[in-house]
Amino acid sequence: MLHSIQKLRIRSRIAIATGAVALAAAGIAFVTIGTTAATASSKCIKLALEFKLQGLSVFEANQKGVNEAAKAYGICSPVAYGGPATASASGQVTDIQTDIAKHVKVIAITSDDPAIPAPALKQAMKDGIKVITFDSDVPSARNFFIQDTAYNTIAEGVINAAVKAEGSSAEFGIMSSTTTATIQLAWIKAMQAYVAAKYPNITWAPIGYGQSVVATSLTQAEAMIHANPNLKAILPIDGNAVIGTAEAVSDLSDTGKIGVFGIGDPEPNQTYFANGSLTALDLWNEVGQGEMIDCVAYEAVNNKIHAGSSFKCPHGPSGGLVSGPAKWTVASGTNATTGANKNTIIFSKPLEFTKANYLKYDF
Amino acid sequence: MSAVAETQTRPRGRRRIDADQRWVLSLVAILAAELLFFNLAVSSFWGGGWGSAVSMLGDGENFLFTSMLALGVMFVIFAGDIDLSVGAMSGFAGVMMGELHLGGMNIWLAVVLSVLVASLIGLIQGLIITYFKLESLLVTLAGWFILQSAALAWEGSVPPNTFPKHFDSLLGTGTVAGTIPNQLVIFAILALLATLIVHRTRFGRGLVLVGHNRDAAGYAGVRVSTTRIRAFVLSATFAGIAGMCIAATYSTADDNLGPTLLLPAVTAVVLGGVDIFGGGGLVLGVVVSSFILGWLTPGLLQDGVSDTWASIAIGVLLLGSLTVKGITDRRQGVSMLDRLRARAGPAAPAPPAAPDAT
Repeated sequence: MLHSIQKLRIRSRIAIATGAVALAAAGIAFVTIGTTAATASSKCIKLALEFKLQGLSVFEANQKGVNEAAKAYGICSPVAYGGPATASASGQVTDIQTDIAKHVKVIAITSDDPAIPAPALKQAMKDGIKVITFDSDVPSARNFFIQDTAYNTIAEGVINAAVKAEGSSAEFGIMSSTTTATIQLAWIKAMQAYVAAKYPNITWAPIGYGQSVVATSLTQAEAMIHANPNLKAILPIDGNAVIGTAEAVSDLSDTGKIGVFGIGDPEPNQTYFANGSLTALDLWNEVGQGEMIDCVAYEAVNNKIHAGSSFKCPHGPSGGLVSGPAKWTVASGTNATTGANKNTIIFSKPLEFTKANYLKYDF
Repeated sequence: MSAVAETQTRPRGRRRIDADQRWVLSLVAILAAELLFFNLAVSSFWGGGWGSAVSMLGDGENFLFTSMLALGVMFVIFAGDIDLSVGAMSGFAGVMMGELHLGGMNIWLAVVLSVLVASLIGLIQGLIITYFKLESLLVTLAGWFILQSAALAWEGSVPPNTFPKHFDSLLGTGTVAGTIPNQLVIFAILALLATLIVHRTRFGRGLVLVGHNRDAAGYAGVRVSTTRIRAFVLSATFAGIAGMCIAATYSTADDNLGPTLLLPAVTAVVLGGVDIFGGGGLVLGVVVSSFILGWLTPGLLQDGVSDTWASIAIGVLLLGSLTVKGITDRRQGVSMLDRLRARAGPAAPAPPAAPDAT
């Protein structure tokens, strides 16, 4: 056995030597690989998808749609599911910079924050990458925004479903997420405006806020039911609020007495459709939205669309999503009723899920 | 604290310093191996070429502020304490700067004022911990909650964003001569400062001694409480500076941008070879380890690995390297490796390969 001090010295020397060799090799490889990467190119359109976080069924449905129509629109497939492990806008920034380094042609992103990814997306646009936002916008740093539905049409869809079941002179209560959530605030405003204009005999219970947490939504919904004995319908307008509200109605054995009509995806709520506590949900076709991303990416890369122009998507999404012929328009200015602003494309009219069709959709 | 009792019997002096230096060398080797791997496996790792916003150097924008937080919390860990409030502190300082600026204050004045307020809050935390003899873990945990909620309340429904371009550029995404990110320069200055403070000043020697054995440090004439309080002030100040860089990078100040950086920062300190119970380690180790961790995520992402698996890789790296360090470090005079050898007898097979094993 060597003396321990001697051994330490030998180890240190070996570590230094390894480090030096590795650094030198890294330097050589940098020169060779760096030059070859710059010239590599491919014919298909490289599209990067960036979701809010990993593993949400609605986003997986988006990705499915993107991959179904990718080939038809000349997009390199399969398109990978991108996004941070937990919802984090700074995590999305790291991903965006990765996409810029990979020289993608299009970044399609649903953002965790309307401002934080803006500098990185601006950098991408400066490098010639087309930026398409969908679902959640970054208004200051994108070429086009695919808005899910018009605010007024989804609000009308929910109210009409509730009125059809409970009549036009009843008490309704809205269950939202937080007091600051942009899209929920817009939907509440649209619902209240529609009711005031069309169904003046409907009264409103105070709005509940479930903080986008199932347990909190459940408590809030139970409190709303106890505090408003004449309540006929609860309208949850956030994914977790739907689950919490339907659970509250089944827990209190109020199924049939209080209807639940909301905005959300059917798959997490199959139990409640089956036991009757959930009557109707409005959303849009998430798979179709994925196909829409391909179509807009193709149009944008080929510079075919701009503010004010119209376009068709021959390879999907298929018809029935918009009223009239399947033709989309790029908004040229702000529209308070629909919620669109410049370069916004409204994807679809709402899709209604009921007991009759909820099993057909896997998101 | 049992760790303090344990360290009393540990032989000190030249041999321990050798172990620290050896660990830093191993980290340099790991960093070199990592860069070599990404270089061979990921052609886009060098992005748009040397120095562009998306090159390896440009990726620094995504982690250098975490490295700054790591340098700050390192002082506190050297002294045998912990500061869980650094992430929230950086967020709070950013929101304060943003709100002051939106209120009409000159942005640079707002920057200086916010960093000073952060230092002041660090001072208050340090005073509470030492005067009332409370655990730093609990006091700074409470500080985290208070600071994050205060930032949330202050920022309102629309967090302050879109700061002047010269601010975003100087502290955020700008570069020196189109190559070296400004944040790298800021980090280099802070790292140099931290090295001088810890390894070249009387305060630094006191800091390490306090972390090593608080009672002995007191008998040796070190002002224990003052030293610990100063460490908290330094930690909060570095967090404040990191907060300015975060706000400039994203051109947004938000309460939840900071707290998610706390664990990565502590990870960098521990991987850097600083004893989590205080009293040992080198600043250079923290600097190198923060680069290892910082480049790991973008490198793996560009290699097509998902974010989830990148997090697992960081966990495995931390666990693996600390296990190796634990085996090779000489604790209580005999390293775990030597103990294994003794148990297995002279005919023992070679131990598992470590980065620095012969």
